[in-house]
Amino acid sequence: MLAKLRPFVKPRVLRAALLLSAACVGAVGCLVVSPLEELPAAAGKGGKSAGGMNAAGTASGASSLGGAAAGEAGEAVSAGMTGQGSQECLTNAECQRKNASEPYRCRPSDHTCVALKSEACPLAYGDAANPDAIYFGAFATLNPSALEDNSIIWSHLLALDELSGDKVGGLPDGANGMRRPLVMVVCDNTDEYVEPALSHLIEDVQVPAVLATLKPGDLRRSYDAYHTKHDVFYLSPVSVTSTVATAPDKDLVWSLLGQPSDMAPTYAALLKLAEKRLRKDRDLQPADKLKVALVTTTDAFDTDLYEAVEPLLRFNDDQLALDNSPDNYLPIKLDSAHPELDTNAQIIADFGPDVILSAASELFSMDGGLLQKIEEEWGGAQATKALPFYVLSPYNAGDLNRIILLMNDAIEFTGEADPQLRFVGVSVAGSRDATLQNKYALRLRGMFKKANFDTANYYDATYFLAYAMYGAGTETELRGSTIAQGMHRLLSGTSYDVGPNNIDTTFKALSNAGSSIHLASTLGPPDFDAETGVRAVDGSVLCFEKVGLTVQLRTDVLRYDRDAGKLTGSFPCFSNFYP
Amino acid sequence: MTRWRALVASALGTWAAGCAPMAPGETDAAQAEAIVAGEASGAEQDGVVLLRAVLEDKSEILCSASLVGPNLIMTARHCVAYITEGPFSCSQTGELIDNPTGGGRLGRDLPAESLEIYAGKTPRKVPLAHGLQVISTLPPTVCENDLAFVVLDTALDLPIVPLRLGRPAQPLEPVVLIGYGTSANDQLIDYKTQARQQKRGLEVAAVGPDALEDGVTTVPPRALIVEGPSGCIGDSGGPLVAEATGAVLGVYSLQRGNSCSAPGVRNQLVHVPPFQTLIDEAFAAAGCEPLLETMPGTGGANDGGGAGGAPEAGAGNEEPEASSANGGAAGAAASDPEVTGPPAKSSGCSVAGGQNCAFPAQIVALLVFSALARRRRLAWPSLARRG
Repeated sequence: MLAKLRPFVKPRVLRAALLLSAACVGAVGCLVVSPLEELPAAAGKGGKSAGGMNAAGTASGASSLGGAAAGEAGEAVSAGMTGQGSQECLTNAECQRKNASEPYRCRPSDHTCVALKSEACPLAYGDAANPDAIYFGAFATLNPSALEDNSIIWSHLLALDELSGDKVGGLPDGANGMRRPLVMVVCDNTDEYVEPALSHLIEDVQVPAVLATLKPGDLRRSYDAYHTKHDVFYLSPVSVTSTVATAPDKDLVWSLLGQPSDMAPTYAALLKLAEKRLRKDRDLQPADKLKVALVTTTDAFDTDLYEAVEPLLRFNDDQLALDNSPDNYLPIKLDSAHPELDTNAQIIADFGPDVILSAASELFSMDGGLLQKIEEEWGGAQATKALPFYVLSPYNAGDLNRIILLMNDAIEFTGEADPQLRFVGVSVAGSRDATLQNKYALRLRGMFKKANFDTANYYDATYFLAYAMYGAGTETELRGSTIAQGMHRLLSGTSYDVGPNNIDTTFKALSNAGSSIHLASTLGPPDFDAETGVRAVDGSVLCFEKVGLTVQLRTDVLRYDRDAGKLTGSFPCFSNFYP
Repeated sequence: MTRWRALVASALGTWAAGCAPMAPGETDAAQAEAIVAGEASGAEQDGVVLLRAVLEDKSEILCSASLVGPNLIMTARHCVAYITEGPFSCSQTGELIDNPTGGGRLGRDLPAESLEIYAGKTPRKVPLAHGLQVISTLPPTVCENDLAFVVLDTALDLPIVPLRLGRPAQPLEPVVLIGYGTSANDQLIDYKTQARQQKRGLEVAAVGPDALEDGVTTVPPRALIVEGPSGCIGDSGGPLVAEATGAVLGVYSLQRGNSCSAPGVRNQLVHVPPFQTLIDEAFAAAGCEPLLETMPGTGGANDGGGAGGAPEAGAGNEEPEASSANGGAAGAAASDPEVTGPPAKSSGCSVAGGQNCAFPAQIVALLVFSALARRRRLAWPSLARRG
């Protein structure tokens, strides 16, 4: 049973990486907390002795718990080890008792008690003491002062509760027909913790799988560092770079949210729409040239995105960006370590682009970032040169609160009545059929009332991993390579939806060795490239509407149809743009 | 003088299901009454130190701690970690419940270098040591395992406080609480001058199980209960020592009640002996060994702390003087030839289940912090880019 499924308040809605943007219907559920039953008095005045309050009792009690496990510490003993010898532990439960009931694992490889939590991985969820527990890692950007206050974690926990909570209990076919509960160790993906977190998960806890919400470089480095000695499966709920997608990885690295090249056509389509609109609004003649700036950074994902976008950009009589004059096209690459934002903002403002395309991450959108500095340099609505039109990046789409605040400030303080008319953004499209996404949102809000809905990729990742682990088979200890084989069993066949109503039928469908299913997720079909492990995604367009005196976000208003090669949908935010 | 305020995790207590909250007006009746200030704490208790944390925003936290090795202190984890403000309750199983604003959740450890250690002598100007490393079981809430060790950058020439390891505290065992806290909820504290005090005449009211597998009781796992006024704001992390031996049995953690001085206040401490593994880890990190409780012969003298003296004890309402004849200041008792071992386990006097209902429905984490301290950060750190 998950012990920490509680509603929280004041959640942070800032998404740490590329997230799925999808409009959802909010709902409020309720968390039922069972009343506490009558309890015996503690050892004390007048109370009954609780017993077991001495150290000896603790130690002796533990040994009776051994020997039942299949696939965990306990079973390794039954598989031939005699006596405890130098072994520190026989069971997970024994380790937990020795360590103040904190989550520990009796590591099968050497029968040593290892803490599931560490400074880099401070959270653990699930029945860790269960002899059949299956451990895996996950990453999120943790708030140091409120570690669990995190929409990524909540999304994982919802799936975990459905798959491994009281109702289902975990993966089938454990020892003696018992369920195998899932235990998730959550680590911090901020720079200072990534390496110790991976070491903790892979070397100490020895997990067979990681839900790798990591920057592509960190993901790649982890694979490179550990793949020779540890068989670990990585499923990234976010996007990866082309390098991660195409580099040899023994089929161990998978990704749910595609790669930058998936988003590039959306940029090109938006630039065409922007040019058409601006030429009309600004009364530009055919001989007048549109000026475009493309901003990126030295970060791997941003550079990858830039390299995918630039060759597709066409403007000024359908000329490739690279064929345009330097007077009309300005590529800017920020050094992430030393971005010199003031200088670069000045350069861009002096260039005076009509359109600024962001293939950059938070350096562009953050408080005091490049966008803000460009606006300051430009001089506001009273400037002689018309203010630029922005196309925001998928990474910026995860941090739009700051940009909305800028727009609201512009309305209030600079006299610009409709700044929202100058902003659109590229994101990852949600599923064409939003049914599963909306159901997910309702359940998530029922359990975590302030949770951000745009987190279904994390929920889906948990389901894919759980079914892949079951699909890997129960005959042998779980390893990354067998989990990867399990992933391949989820890509085609009879369709089953993620979600709590289909878990047993999905397990049953996978129980026949060699069978495969089509696992439909909230994101849509499992369009993974079986060679690269990267799921193909569509780009989508977001925009902003003015409601009263404030600006509000509209997501997934247009979708880039890969097959048709064009944008589809309706655009509600302003006229003269689409179609 | 710096103005401080309490981290009040108020209301919604559910230790005793269905209990009515304390009547209004009952809570403020005795705010001027000294609590820990039953007696001044002497130099023999100099191993009980003042822990001050200075955060990035210059706000401050004040707690108590025990010097358990020359360069190692033991305190409550909520004194050395980020915590979410707000009301909360803890269940008998040590789970955080009823925290609509997220109160009672613990975050990461504070930066060790932000932790300052001061001794009892006043006025205090320069910290004697800073933290180097914080060690705990990383509990996610204050309700359970609220215990931490801090390895210091300097070995201190102060008395080392002994630990009881290998055997539990006993119900009715006479104990002394030591700390730098206030005597009422709304008092002011200046860390430079705040005196250390001790409260004698206390006894262990109840001991929780070492693990839930041992049975769920009215006391959370690995917790001790001391009833009646004793600790207050700033005593968090302070030691509860065996009166007979001076060894630490518990670390002050939470208080259930609307006021430190309310007669029915219930104090929850972390029971130290079950944390053997954590203690081993902490001492290994510090490179020293614990000073173990010295168990004198049981033929002990006239200390009244033996089995015979305890059963008649009331529920924490003894006059402090009643135990003063026991002699041997807590911090130095281990070397006192006249002390005896703790009382044998006693059937004790009865505290009916309903008596729990007299406890005010409130839990308070008794550290002190300045007005802006310990708020949750309003923004996540960005996912710094490295490429």
